[in-house]
Amino acid sequence: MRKPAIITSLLLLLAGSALAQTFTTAQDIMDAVSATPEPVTLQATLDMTITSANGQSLSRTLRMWSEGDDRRVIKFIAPADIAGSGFLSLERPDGSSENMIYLPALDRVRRIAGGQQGDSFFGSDFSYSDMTGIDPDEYSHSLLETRDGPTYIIEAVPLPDSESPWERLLLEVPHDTLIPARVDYYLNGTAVRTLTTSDVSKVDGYLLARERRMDNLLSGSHTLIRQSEMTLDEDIPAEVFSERFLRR
Amino acid sequence: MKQLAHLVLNRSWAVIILFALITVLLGFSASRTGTDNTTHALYPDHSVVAALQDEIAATFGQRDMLLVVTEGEIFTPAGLSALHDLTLALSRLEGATNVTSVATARRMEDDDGFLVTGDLLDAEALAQGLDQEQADEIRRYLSTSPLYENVTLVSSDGRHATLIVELEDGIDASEFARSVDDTVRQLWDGPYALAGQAFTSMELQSIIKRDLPALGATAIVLILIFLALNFRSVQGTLLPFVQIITGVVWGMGLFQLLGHKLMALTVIGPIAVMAVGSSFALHLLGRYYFELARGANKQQAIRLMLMETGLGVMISGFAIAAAMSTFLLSDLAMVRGLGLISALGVLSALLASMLFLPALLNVLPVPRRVADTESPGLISGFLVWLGRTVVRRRRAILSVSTLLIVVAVIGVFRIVPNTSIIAFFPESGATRTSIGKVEQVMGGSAPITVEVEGDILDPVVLQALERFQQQASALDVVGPGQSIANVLRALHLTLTGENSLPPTRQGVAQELLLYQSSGEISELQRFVTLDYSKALVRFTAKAMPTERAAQLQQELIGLARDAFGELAIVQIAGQPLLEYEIEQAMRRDFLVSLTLAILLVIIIDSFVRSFRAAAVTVLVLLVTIALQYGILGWAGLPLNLATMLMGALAIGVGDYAIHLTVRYMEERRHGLEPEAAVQRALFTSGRQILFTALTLGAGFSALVFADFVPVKTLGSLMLLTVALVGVSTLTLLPAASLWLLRNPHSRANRSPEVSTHA
Repeated sequence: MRKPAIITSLLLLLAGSALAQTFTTAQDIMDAVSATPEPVTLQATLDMTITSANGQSLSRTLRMWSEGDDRRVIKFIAPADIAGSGFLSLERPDGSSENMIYLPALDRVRRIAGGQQGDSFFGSDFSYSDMTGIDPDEYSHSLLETRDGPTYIIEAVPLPDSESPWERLLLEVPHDTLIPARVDYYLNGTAVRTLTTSDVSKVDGYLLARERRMDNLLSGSHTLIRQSEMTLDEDIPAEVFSERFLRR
Repeated sequence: MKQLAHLVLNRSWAVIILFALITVLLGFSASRTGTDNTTHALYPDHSVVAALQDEIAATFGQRDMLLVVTEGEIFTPAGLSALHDLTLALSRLEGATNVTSVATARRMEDDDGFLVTGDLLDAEALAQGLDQEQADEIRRYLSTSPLYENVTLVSSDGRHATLIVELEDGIDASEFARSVDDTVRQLWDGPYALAGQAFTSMELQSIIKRDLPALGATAIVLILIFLALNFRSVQGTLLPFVQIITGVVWGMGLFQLLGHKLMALTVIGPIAVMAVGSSFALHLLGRYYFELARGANKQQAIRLMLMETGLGVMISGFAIAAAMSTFLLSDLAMVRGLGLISALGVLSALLASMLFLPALLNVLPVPRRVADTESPGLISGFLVWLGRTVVRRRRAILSVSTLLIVVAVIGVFRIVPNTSIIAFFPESGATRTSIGKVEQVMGGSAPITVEVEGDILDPVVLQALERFQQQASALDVVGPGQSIANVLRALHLTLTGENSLPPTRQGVAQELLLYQSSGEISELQRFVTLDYSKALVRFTAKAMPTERAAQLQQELIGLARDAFGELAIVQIAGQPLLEYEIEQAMRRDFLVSLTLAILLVIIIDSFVRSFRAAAVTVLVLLVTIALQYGILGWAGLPLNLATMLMGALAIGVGDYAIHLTVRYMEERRHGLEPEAAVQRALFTSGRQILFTALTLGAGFSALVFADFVPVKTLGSLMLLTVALVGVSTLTLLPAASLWLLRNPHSRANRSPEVSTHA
């Protein structure tokens, strides 16, 4: 199984208990971030609001079931026109993923090609790859600065064989949570997106960021995802991650 | 006037140095005058259509577009690769926000259960080298997919490809168009054509840059020739030249200091200033040389020149400036600019005539040979004959004039306005040829956008929208349209095999959700808002006369009413509608400025003489204006931004008729009978009036060489105007004076200077 993605996971950004000492190398920080415990399963309600550059907004409510980063089901609850539509993402043993969408109006399940992971997640400023997280093993890290707090400023540069579409990432990791509070995504020397996390608190012993916002710096749009009604570490039946459940 | 003469004669060098200094400073300012060549600058200030366009631009990200059509064998590996490279190069240009071409077209297909959306021209295939089979497959997809049903990315014969380049807001559109032009020329090995607002802006800028120096130089040369013919001396030729240059430099320098920029129409301003300024000098110098010939010394001649003729010049100057400044009330920035530069220039030329010219005359030696303008000669003989004829045939002159006015008024009702921007360019010129080529391939070049506000997810609304789109596209001047209906039809066909729109609201919402999960969200936002409360239908229309644009607006409103009924609120914007708005603003300006100019001239002229004298003088102008527009109507020439200015310009150039009235009243005051006074006035003032008309005509004839079509037409018509004013002043005005102004001083408001002279 792939090492759990931890940097920009949609659902959980967990951190261990407060650490007694500060870190001096990027590797130590990233190791500590990777070592933070994660729930095995998560069920949550997501309120997603997409706001365009001219202020138009669109809200959708989704219910999500996930098991690690390998299996995830999302069902749209609101608005009514799309209620019942669903999305299933399964990771295959070879590391590739299978994504399916169910539309009740057509009563059909459609597959989405795996090569489109960089595409927008249902019109939002998050991409499919943002939903599954970024693997830290695909990047080399260097500590640029340690600010008051302390907060670590880390640069992540994709390794040569990485599939990351970005030129580099700039992460702000507060020492007390080890949850990246801000990630800037760079292309051609320019920051093109910014992810910010907020409302960090403990839920069932896990430190979580309930709110995530992705700003598209090119288009001026942004998407806010707020999670609630969370259930952690409760067994999710295997049939949930199936086409049949998607259709239900 | 006495004090003015005193000042000029006693402080000549101070006046000259001051004028020279100010001229240098304002010349520096004038050299920094920028140009505003954007088509936006043509729109009225409070344009409803422009406001709607701005709202649509903010809501749907609609931007100005530059359209490119390339010619060659498109559906070949080489053709498609070249288009791909060109698209990439254009998208990298500074200021380009989006490029649509066959190289950016998307493919939406059902591939064994997968909904596949991707680039039609696959980058991987391009890197490996396309083969003819792949090129044919692209051709097949484009010709069958509903997604591209209404978009001509490649013409049906495969010979023309289109590229739509969208521009960032606020950039210099001309510069951008130039960079696009350069890029296409470098990368496309074959003919190409451009169209769109940025292209029009670029062409307008080229015209301004070409026209102003070329027309200015031509006007100067022609004016100098007529000045030389009149005065037959170097001094008599060059002094008016110095004075009109001063007027132009001051006018342009102040114009720049006030934060204004030159526009295509503003070019008329400096030419008008030159023509009017030369007429001031003609009258003043004519009097100066006349007094010298009669034995006066230099200072006496200057004093009499200022006190007698100067008064008429000053009244005339103020009246002309007032007439020009009525354009400042316009809703159109271009017309306001013309009014401002002309008024400033005329006032500057007047100031130079009253101060700089006499100061120069005072420090310069008296010419050895001074021509007596009243000495026997061909012109004097003609004026004597004219005086007798006018007195004898006064009734015939008045009857013929009345008849001409009736015919002219009938012609006025035949005038067809046209403010279409394409009509600014020569019919067979490169600009119109290029736009014509683009329209031939794309079905249009002028954007029309229709905003539909309602429940867009409702299939009934969508069907109405599609029906409206089809019916509007069937209109003769409207090209293909694109909307969310095209996307949904293509999507539904791909997902279900049915070539129709989704039948239910849920179907519409969920198919769009699916598209969002696999397509480009920005493609949807071009056609529909995030909350599905507004949709946009985009058309391209052919360039058309504004009369047709007005009809089109009504036709589209009618179609929208039929298609949507109470289902949605529909608003229409676009280039042709903006041009129609320009026409409406122009009509308003035309009536307001003309009426106001006439009133101002009457008031200013009567301020020193008498209301009755002023009214009779203005009669000449009214007849001229009636004939101008009558001829416009009978000749089938359009009323446009330039020709609508003709009336007010006629008042500007024609107010020299006041000189004849002044002289007639002077002669009456000296005790001559009306008939004798008319003959005397014609004999003494006729020569200057004749040469003023010729010099003004020479100045305005430069406009005939303009590339900007309305200015070129105006040039021809102004030649006619000057001739009409000249003939009317020398025939109708004396005839009318004999009828209506036999006793001009019965209620006269005498000026002390004239009384002193008498």
